[in-house]
Amino acid sequence: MRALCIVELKTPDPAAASAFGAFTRRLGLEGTLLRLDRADLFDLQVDDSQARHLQPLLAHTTLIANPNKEDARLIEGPDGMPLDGPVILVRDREGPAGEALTARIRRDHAELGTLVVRRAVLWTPTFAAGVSDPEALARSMADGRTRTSGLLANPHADVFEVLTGRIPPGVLSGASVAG
Amino acid sequence: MAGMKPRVAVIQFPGVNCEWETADVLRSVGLEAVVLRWNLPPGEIAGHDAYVLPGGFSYQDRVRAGAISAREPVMETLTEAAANGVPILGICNGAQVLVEAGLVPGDADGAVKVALARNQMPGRSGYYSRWVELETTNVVCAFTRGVPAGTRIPMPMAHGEGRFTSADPDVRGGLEQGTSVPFRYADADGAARGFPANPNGAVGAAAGVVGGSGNVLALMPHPERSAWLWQVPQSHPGAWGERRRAWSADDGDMATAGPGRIPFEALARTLTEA
Repeated sequence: MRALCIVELKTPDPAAASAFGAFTRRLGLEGTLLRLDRADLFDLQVDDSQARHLQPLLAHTTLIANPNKEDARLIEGPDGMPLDGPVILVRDREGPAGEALTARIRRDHAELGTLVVRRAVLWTPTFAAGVSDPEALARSMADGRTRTSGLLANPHADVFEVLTGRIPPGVLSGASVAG
Repeated sequence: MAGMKPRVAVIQFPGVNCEWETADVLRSVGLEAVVLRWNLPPGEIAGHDAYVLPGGFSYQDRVRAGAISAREPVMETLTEAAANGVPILGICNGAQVLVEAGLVPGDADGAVKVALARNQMPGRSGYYSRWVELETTNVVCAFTRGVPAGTRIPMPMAHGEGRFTSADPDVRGGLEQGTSVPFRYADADGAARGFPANPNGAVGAAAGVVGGSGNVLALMPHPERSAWLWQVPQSHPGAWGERRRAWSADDGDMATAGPGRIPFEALARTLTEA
């Protein structure tokens, strides 16, 4: 079974605020970029027999999300997460982080002994109406190949993907798991 | 003007925390140092003889360490200064800013050529701090002027994103072969071959990477934290550890220079002997 988990701060995200400020004040998107949200995306893979233990893991531990300061949304089923517009997924070039977290969950929660966790950062831009190519604009926001172009991914440390329509379950499973 | 000290500006981005001790070290080698906030008008930042971007956590390392600061207008001033051969040193977070600004290794197109990626350490992840041994090379650099290749300089490192790497094969080759590396992590036999002597898995054991015509240096460890001999641990191995123990035994002078002063002394030579 595969599932997605979206973890967001309950308070305004300071990284998203700083990135929004950089885009609108420094990178020319004032009036075009109306809002920028940031979340951690966890791509979860577990045997069907253990899947029922995922929700309690989120509700009663701080391993994936800290309920005191974060909201966690578990999205199960083959359709994944539907999207209203483009989103940007950023992960390490060496592979999505999650190895250490996977090992810790397996060690402390034997009921989830088959779980594999992969992790990336999910950026959700909201553009002004009338933007002609939101997908291309999202791509340019991610591509940090110069300090005057994008910001969200350094091409020598990160890889990014712009998704539209939906985030499918298993979206990060194509890459190996890295620490 | 004869008799005037070269003026060095230490740029204080929001969240840095090493600006004052960095200014102290600059003064200790005979330079005039001022700490300037990053958002001053360009005219107040331009015109200095050298610049230092100090360590810390500018903008809380949001998005990526150094990424937000690199997009600030002050970096236009520094980019212009770098192109004119003005020495610029980035220490730790300052190095991350220089890398994200495309000044290291740097070329005319302003492209970001390297990253300071997350540390790669066996059996652990995240932030890591320890004393490391650096070794200078023969790569031309304003911060090694007059320093023989092979000089050993112990200093602390403290970072979570400090691994020099590149997806560009040519740039990566430059790191591996050391052509852009004036400071590398070292072990007893030379270039560090593994953890913990190379504390983050940097390609080519690169601790510092040079840009421009040798005038820009991104250095991950902290020389300002070993600029006085009393800062060196008594347990440190090698010549500097011996000096430190002797200093303690002799009730030494607090002002005695430590190994971290070497890059700053080289800067002073660059500025006064040019």
